[in-house]
Amino acid sequence: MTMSDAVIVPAGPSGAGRPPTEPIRILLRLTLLELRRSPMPLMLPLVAALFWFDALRTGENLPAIWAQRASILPNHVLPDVGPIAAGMAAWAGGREQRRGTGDLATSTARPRWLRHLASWGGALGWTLLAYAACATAIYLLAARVVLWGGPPVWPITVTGMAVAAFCTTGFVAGVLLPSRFTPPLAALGTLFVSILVFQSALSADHGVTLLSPNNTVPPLDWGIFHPVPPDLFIVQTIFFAGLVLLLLGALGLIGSGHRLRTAIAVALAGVAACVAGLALASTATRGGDGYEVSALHDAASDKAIAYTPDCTQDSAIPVCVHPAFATDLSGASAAFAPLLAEVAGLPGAPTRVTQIDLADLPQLTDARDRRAYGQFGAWSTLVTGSNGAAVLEYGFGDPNAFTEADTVGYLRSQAAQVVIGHVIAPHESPDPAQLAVELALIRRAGATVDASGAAPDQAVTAAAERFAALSPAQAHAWLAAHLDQLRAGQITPQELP
Amino acid sequence: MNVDIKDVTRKFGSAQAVAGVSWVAGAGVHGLLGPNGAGKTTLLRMMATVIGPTSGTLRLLDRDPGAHPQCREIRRRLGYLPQNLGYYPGFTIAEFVEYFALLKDMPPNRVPAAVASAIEQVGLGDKARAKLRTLSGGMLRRVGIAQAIVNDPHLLLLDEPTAGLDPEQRVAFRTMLREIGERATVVISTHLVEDVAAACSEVVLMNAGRLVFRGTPRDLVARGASVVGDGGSGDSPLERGYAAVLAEARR
Repeated sequence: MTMSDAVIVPAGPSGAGRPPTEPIRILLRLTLLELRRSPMPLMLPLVAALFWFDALRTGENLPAIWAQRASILPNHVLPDVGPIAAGMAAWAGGREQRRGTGDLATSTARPRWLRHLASWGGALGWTLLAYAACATAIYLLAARVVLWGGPPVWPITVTGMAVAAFCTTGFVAGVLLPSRFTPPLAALGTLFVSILVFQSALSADHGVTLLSPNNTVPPLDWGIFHPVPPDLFIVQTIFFAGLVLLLLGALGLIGSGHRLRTAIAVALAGVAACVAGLALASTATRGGDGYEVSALHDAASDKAIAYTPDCTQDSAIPVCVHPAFATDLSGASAAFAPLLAEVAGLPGAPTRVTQIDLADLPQLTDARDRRAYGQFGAWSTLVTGSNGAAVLEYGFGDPNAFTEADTVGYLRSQAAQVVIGHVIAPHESPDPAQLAVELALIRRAGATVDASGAAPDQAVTAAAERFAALSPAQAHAWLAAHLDQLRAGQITPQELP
Repeated sequence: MNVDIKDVTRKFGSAQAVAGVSWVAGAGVHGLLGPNGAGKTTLLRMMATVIGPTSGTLRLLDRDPGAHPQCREIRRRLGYLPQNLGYYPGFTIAEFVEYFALLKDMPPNRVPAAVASAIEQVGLGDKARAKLRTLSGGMLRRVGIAQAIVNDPHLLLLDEPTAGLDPEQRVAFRTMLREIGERATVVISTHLVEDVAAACSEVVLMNAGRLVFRGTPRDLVARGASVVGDGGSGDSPLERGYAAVLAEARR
């Protein structure tokens, strides 16, 4: 028996004496390979279809306000993209086990974590690309119709980070449980989270529920009169970034133990960020234009945003709206013009109709009347101002559900008693004669009388019908001559012409 | 020594796959023969630092694979072709080899040339951009060999490397092995004794987890010749030697 000569081979081109090559360069190159050959592009048609059916079509029907259009990202793009990304990432995460390359890969010098990071990077790259395409489409379409302001950045950031967290969760699930069932379970699990948990958080406004991106669904005029504070967006970004770091760190702790200290540091940084996010969210309080977190809040950002209102002189007095709602100006003018014509020139008649910020309502202490109507129309708050102020509050709904004529008619009817009543009985509930005049003028203006209250008695109805039958000039002349007596309650319905 | 194994055992549960193997090997091509279940693949996996021994000591390239920094140094110089080569169907040949070259910690700027050279050596230069899913079994085996040699390894471990290769490729492969064996330690686990006869300077025969023969191919042939009258079987002298050693070990 012989034995071959034993030789210790000196270090060669890849041997000792060479400093370790930069892991970042290797990681980047591996990630590029993963990006090029990732299965993630297979998800793109599905994402595109979901995006078109859900996010895009919903977004197109929202009012042309940046905050509204941006809310599509967390509320629709996240559940459209996130679960699919999680499922595909789980598929990518289980690849080594599924393809049986474990032995081969384990025998290489670089730690398992690096391979996972590269594979995760490939999955995340395609996910963020898909998300970026969706966000770009939403914002481009919004830019075509939005009249005022600039695109908000924070919804993009928060939703992007949430999508990254979904993708990372799926990937880690795939690594830990490399089964054919893991990808669909990861997709369903994240869908469950995005729809059920996040949506249910809408009904709560404190603590951990504020970490849900869906919790930032804004009222219509958020960011119009005052900037939306970025506080909660920052907290959510911190939390989701922490979640990503925690999962990646945990991935590094699994397996070989190489780079253990780095993995522990990454995981601890993730835990710290998650805890910080939770702690900060628990201190959030609702302000006029969003949530404020005292530790992050910049009081300078509370200042009202300066703007020049868009006004029209089509009616007797200027009707003005915020430039963000300029497309609604003609409708607002059409709604108010007949009402304003009935009282024009009378003492105490409105001099201006102006849209205001709901947050300013408490300051209008002399406001006579406030009425809130939800889910209709395309105007926010309008106030008639003169001789005190009369305020109308309007909610916003789906403008496509109603024709403009419907909306104008509805707004006119809701504004009628405020505008007319503000002139006829500015400081108290109307007496029978005042009520008869109000009803007559409202009817003459083509508005519908609010039938929710008690029906007026016969004398009032008869007087209203008589007064409504007068010509506009006769009615105006009578009011000009008798308005002080009418306001003072010195006229009975029978005395009305 | 590039391979220095002392009393190494490996158990999987109650099953002992490797039972007290000691082996020292330097440069050259070493054939690892043995019947199914003899422990060849387990021994190779230990030498590839995929799994550790249950007991005994293992030193590779004069380093301890159980210590992390040294293990990494070993892996930088290691080439390994597993028995069942897993692969990523969407990768091209060049990308797959590049992927493992990078994982072997090769300097990124030297990787492209090394990849091209390795692919050329296994005769797949004209198919470098072909997706792995389009390749035949023999071609995939050659891709596996390419990734194993891409880092110019000092310890090359090949588990059934010629399975699926046609005769022409097998001849070229043996030539390549002999060239590599002049400067590195090459260990081939195989059932094909003609590969051993043509390429190996040493033969190691395992049975039931134990090393039952160690010598040159000529020594193994001699063992077969000495027992021809005693029940040796096989078509070639080497096969007869193989059978004779196994028969003796099983007594």
